[in-house]
Amino acid sequence: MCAVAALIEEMGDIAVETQPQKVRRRSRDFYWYSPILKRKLDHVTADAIVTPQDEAEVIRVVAAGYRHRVPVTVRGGGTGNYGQAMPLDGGVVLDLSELNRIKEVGLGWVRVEAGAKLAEIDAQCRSQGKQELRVHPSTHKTGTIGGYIAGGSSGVGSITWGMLRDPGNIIETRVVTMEAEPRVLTLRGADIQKVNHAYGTNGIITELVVPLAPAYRWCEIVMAFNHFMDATRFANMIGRQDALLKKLVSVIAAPVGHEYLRPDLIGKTESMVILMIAEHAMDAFASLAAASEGRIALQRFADEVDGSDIPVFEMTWNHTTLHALKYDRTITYLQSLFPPPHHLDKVEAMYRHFGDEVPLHLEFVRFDGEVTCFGLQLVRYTTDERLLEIIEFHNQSGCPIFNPHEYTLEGGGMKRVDQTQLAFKREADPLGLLNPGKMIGWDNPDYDESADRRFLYDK
Amino acid sequence: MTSVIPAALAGLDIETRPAQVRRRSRDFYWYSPVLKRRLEHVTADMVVTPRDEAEIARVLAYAFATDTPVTVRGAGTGNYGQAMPLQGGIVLDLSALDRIVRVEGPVGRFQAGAVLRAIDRALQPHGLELRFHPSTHGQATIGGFVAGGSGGVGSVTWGTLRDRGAVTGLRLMTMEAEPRTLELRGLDVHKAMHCFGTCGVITEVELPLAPAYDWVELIVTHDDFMAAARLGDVIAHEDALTKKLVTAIAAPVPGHYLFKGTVGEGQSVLLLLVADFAASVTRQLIAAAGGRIVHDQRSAEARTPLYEFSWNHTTLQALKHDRSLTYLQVAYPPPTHLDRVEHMWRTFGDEVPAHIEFIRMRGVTACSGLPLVRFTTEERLAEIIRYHQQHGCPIFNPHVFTLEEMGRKDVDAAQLAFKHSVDPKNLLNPGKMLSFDDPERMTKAKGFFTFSG
Repeated sequence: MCAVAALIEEMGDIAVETQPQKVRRRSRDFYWYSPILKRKLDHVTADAIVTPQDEAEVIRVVAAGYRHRVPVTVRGGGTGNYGQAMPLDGGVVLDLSELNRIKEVGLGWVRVEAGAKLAEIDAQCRSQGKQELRVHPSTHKTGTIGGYIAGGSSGVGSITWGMLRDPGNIIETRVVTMEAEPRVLTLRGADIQKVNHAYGTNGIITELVVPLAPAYRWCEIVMAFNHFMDATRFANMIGRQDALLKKLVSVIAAPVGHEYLRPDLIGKTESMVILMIAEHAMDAFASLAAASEGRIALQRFADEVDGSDIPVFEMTWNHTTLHALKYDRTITYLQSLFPPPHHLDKVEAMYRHFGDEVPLHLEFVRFDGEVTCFGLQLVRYTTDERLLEIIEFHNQSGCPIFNPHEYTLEGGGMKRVDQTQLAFKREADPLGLLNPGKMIGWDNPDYDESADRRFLYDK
Repeated sequence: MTSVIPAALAGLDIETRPAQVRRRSRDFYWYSPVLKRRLEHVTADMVVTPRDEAEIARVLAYAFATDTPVTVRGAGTGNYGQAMPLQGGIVLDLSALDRIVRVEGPVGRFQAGAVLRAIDRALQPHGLELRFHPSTHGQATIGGFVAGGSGGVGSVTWGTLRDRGAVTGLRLMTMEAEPRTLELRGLDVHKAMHCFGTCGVITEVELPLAPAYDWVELIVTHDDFMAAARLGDVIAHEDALTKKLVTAIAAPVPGHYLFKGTVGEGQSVLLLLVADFAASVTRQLIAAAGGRIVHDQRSAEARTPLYEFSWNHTTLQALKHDRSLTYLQVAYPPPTHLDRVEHMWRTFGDEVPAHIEFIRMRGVTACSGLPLVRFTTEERLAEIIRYHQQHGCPIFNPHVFTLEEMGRKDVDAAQLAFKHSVDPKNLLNPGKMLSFDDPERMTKAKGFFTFSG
């Protein structure tokens, strides 16, 4: 604590919070989606929250941290699900929410500070030239761009634009190193992967340039299908329509739609398809929907949604899990990939095998140039052993699980030790003070959970 | 029909001088030595250039009353005689119907005769452009493209005209005693698309537009054609990389016919159009694959746009140097498309120099080929076509002039019913729709067709 006290001493006019309850609240994220992480991380708290106003203040904080050997864990909106921004070794949480300037909007790109909220970036880009972010998580309102890139991977928009790690989805990052004299590095192209999805373990992202998509008038659609596989096949077909502009194609198996999401729209035995389609693609979409087995339960424009309701994307991605958890705290979830081209067969096999113990929730995305789906299946949790059994069965069946019940980069199944990120950490954080405990490779460079599994971040 | 102007057409812009009429009765059919021989004699009796729909209606009513064939023409940039009047009669030149009807949000509506480049220029202030266009962007009309084309520059992102939602609306006039005007929307637009004007006269086209980015042109050379093709495949698969063109062309075509002086004789090329904000990551991908960039320039500054060396302009540029060349149109079905490309390239060598265009096809990245062919005899050409077909590479035969023989489209019952309703006397571009003109031959030829629309 005296190291932290010494650091605080040097902060001068930089905002510091030390009141224990407030510090504790701002030391956590949505880790409690996982009963395992809930148990493991419940006690985690920082000693202080530091909130710099600009990059110069960030540099002052990390320089002091380096001098006094204080761990620094960067935080954006705290909307992660695996404790990405939770300070396992205490120290300070570096809250970047005040670095929220939108610096320049260009044709097809925007330059922003890391703490800018996704919704605010979109609002600004829409008013300046009808553009918007290509992809965002379902935590659009509260998530920050820096947090998304440091801790996320895909989201609403991935059905068109793929994954954040795809070359071109991040154009530039500015990174502050944690050294005696912190450097400010500009990473472009392949170098961006050094810090992309590294949980802030190897540098502090302060500014980014990301590409923009045209901001269309989006139509929100909810469809109901009597059979889950009909819903899935329809979603897959829509996902593959190259000329049809879409931002979201999600499938949620019965009875989740009725029990946890929209009982007013969806019957107990009906599976749901949730879509966002551009206004001017609606004629073609309507023809395709009319020829399907589904019925349209809701259709409206996104800009017509008022405060009394939520946008449909707040029923998808990890918000599906959140809504279910509000009703039933025993529910948890998984993250999996159904590799193409036989993804629908694999979905069906899992659906039949687990039934209502693992209600399926699919998000269609473009992955390595192909349309496929991720599963964010709900799990009616009983024991850790059963959860591991379910995970193992998916892995054995060729549906790799990116385990959301692990808090390390490697354990999340995202990757084994990423040697590029590890090498960069040695350079940018030689004392291992940035978000310690999240990169297994820092302590064990040869760690390899399983050499022959398919990893989300392999290219 | 004589060259005397009938009273019913008085006051219309009509051309009857034989040399002029003949010139405006043809397209780029001569890319094919086979079509050159077969269609050389084709000419209309007159060319009528209506100024508006009322004048079109007068022409159609007159033609219906007198059983005169009418063949619609845009700019005549087709390659299979799409707009050539096999049975004479009237060529209906729509080039004077060239207005931008409206631009509303990201959707544009244009009169059929509007030239693609003029459309893109008019869209500039809106920050928009056509999603994709043929390499004949400078001459071709939007109506001609929709009636006779399929894809082009931009198809690597947006797919082809066949895709649902590629065209949102068509305005159409029927060939009847009293011509009607129809508006087709949703999936109905496909009833009249890629019919060579046999299913009504398209007067307006409405379609979604894309953002107009600042595009960067790249020419990348490789010593090995397959290295260029593989890099093209990688780039085409990158969902986040905003791109408009991914073309690979085998040596010696680039050095001999396209980029003399810039590209060596033994080098194959990859041609790319990427958005300026995607250029630096693209250059990294190229470097990592061992490609050499020999041309790197903003499109806006290019004297000749790079796409005028791609798609069917590759063939045109080569033909300027060697009139014995012709070409094919090939599909290489994914996911084994590159294996098939390589197989054909190795099998035929310099007799069929490879040229592939990457496109999105039903959500998957694939490539179609427009290989050159060093033509010797029709028998040998048929042999080459057969070999492709037997090895899993369907050919859209550019050496025939009917829709069905091209293998481009199954004319189904719905399509035929629509044709009956809009052109009951079969006067629109007669001779192009085999299933309508000669159902018996159609049945006999069945096995030949390789492609279902």
